[in-house]
Amino acid sequence: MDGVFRAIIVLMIIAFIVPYSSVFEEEYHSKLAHLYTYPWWRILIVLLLLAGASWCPRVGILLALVVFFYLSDMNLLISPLPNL
Amino acid sequence: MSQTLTLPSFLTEQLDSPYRLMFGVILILTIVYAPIISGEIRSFADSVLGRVFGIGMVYAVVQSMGWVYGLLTAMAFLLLLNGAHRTIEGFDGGGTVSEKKTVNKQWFVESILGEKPKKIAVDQIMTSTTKD
Repeated sequence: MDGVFRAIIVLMIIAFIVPYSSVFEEEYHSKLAHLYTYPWWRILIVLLLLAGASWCPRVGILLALVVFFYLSDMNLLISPLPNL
Repeated sequence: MSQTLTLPSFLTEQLDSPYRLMFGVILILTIVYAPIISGEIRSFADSVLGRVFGIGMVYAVVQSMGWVYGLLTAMAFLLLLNGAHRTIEGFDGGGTVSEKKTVNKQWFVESILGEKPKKIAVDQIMTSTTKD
């Protein structure tokens, strides 16, 4: 049963990464963009990544991709123009 | 009917040392506060020496502390690299455009946007009267 859950989560993350995370032009949901400004939210998603990695390495690596794309995109989008 | 609360495996097996815990906290803080890390550190991470050091550090962490710490280290390093300020101008590298140094003057749009270019390609504007 655990293996089925892992496979479902892996498929869900892949379905999120391919059309959403890996495309810079794809707009994040406004709540995700708003929550990025709070440090506790960023800490929470890193802790989610740790929890996923401790559960299953495949889930951890895919979650790391999602978190990295999210953080790097938001870092870029909130940077002032002269810093780009 | 007592239930025992068990900690996740990464807490009980890999975070057994205070040094590892401290390193993990530093990594998390680096990831979370990556946008406010100074430009000098980012520029160093973007240099050849910094990249060799960063990749070597990821490898060393994976070897000594396990892949979860290695994953966090790689994320922190990539986020540092991602925000590195690059001052490469669009017309660098020769061509027919002659570079001119800025002389403490800014165009209106540069002063509004807070831009401070180090080099410019055009320092004159050619205007002409309106003709029917």
